Amino acid sequence: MTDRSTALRRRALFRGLAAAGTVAAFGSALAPRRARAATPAPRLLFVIGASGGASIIDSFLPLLASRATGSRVNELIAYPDAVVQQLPGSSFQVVRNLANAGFSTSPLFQSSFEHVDLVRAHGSDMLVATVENTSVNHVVAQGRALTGAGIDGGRTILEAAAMTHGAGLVLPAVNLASGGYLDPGTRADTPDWARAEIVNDPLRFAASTDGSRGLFPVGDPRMPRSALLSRARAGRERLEDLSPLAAVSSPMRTRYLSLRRDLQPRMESEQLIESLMLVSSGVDLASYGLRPAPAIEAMGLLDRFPNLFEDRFQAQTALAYLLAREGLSAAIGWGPGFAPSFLSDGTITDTPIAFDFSHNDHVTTQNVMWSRVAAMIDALVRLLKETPTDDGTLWDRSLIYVATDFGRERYRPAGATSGFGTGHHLSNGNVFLSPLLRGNRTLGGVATDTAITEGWDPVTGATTPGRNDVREGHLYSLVAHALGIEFANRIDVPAAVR
Amino acid sequence: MSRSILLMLTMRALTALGLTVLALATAACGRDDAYLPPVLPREPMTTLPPPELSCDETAAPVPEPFVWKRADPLATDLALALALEPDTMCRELGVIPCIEAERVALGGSDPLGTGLYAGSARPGLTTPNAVDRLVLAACAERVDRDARGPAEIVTEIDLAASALDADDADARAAMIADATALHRRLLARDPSDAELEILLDLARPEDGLTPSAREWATLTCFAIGTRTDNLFY
Repeated sequence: MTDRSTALRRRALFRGLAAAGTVAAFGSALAPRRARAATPAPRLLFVIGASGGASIIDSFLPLLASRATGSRVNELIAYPDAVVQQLPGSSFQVVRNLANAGFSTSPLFQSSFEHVDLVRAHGSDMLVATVENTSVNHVVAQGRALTGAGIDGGRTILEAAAMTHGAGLVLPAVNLASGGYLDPGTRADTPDWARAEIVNDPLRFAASTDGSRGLFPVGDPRMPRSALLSRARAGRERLEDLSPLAAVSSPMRTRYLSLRRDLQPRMESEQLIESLMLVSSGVDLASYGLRPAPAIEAMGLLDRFPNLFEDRFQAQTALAYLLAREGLSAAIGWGPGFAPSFLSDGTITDTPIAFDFSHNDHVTTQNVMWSRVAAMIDALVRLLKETPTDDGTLWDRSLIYVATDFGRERYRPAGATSGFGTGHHLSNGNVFLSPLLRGNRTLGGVATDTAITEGWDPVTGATTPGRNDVREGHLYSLVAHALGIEFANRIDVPAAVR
Repeated sequence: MSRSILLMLTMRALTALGLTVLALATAACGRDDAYLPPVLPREPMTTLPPPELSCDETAAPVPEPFVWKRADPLATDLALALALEPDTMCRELGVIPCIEAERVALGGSDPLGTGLYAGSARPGLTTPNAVDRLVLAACAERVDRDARGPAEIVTEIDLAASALDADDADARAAMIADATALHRRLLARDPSDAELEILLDLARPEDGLTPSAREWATLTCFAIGTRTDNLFY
């Protein structure tokens, strides 16, 4: 930890020197911009794409059965008071982990994390905000969850955060998610460097940050010496100048050459392949001249993510932390996807198709998947809180947005407590965590006779009974406001932002 | 008639003005220069300002004349060119085929895994690394097989030699023959004299370092196979 702190202070020194050099190089043209922006510290955005429809009324904003009203009260999805917890001083009512509470759920799908423990540990930085979405198509809705349904001209919140806080980073935005959460924004003037780098394999991503290391064991006669490889690369650049393609104006080729000439050496010299290496113990890294990411041991990642090498969600979360810890990225997205995930002992870590398995078994799916999401949030926040910076910890400038597609239907077969499925529904709410937000707060409510979420006023936070005018753009604005991201249509949300 | 001519001239003038403005706007956007992050220290704690946009968000994208040869076509072409098997010619840490591990970085889709139904529109930040890895491993494997014999592609030089003398007539001829064979296989054309000289230069001693014949063959193959000529068409 001390080493890390020292390293961060050293980097701060380098940053100051480099900034001074930059000003010298660009003269007065840059000076006013630096002066204008001297205050806001760069911030980190983490977006968890809870694929399939993470329903807020099944987790952190449930309708209690004792409060349900109306003619269809026995059909509303409402939870018995006995399985809903509220900690002293907390504004959140939280559905318990039903398996822990002694209620039978599917033996196939298990997650032991107790939902309320997220509130217990981080409730003061946690905010729930209701929303009425605009699509019940998975891919469309997932895209809108990241673009605010186009409120910023089609730019995703990852791209916007990268533009504001990721300039100069090696990988300004990284996206490990799935489906529509991977879609790039459609706004044409988003610079390419702010587009998210898509990563499909968190364990092996480190290898993608180097052009040669790890291909062959050390001393393998097939591998040319590294100095000769550099010479061949230089020769290749001379060949590029002679290429027939050079006579044609191609943005794509220009981009490729720029990345290869400028960014590749930077990734290699900064040894990202080592700082991000998560490959399992099944590989003898030392024989390849590599080693696991030092943070695995320094931060006890194997204790925090015991199935790191098999559980994709855990691996994604660990890599998200490493990208932030190493100062490589400003915006990172990930989350469970629709592909089933199995451990070697046959355990199924997520319900198949994640939250969308609610079509088959609503209660089990929502309960298990929310437990999974809460566990990963808890692990990440703890790591960020334990990672010091010059003026605090990484958590001080972080924001987690639990994006999801939409909500789920509100009705069940009369009297049924499990074994029923639900379709998609526009009504929902989202979870946010950040010290930049007014925590321990719920914006909006739930109608007791329909279980439909009610909206809230962005300025006062007052609930709007009987209606929900909050759309994806409000949530995008909420994140943007908290992170200091400016755009023309931003709706300031003082009700949520400190 | 005169009114029509006047109208036509006016329209032409307006069109020319419009094109000029468009050209200036495109130039001002600096799109060709906008592919990389500004070179700054990688600190997340930097206090630099957010980028200021001057581009019209509705501006048409710059036309792209080339098509990107993505994951499977690239790997298949490479395997055919070097007479290797796509699944074994490159393995990450000796375990997983590079084409699988690097599929997305190489522009491929991943519909059954992450639900990525279409690859990225443009090469990503790690694409050059993925290309280098794939081609370097494949070239090394090809040369290794040729060294162990019987040679299939690198047939003329002595792969057991500790160095190659590009100024020796016989050695030079052998090097040119092998470099030309690799060039034909990978790029489907003969190299120019200038290109050959660059490849022969790779064999020369420099900074006290002299490549072995195996190294020269591998790196010649690598330099050719990772050219943008092999990635875009």
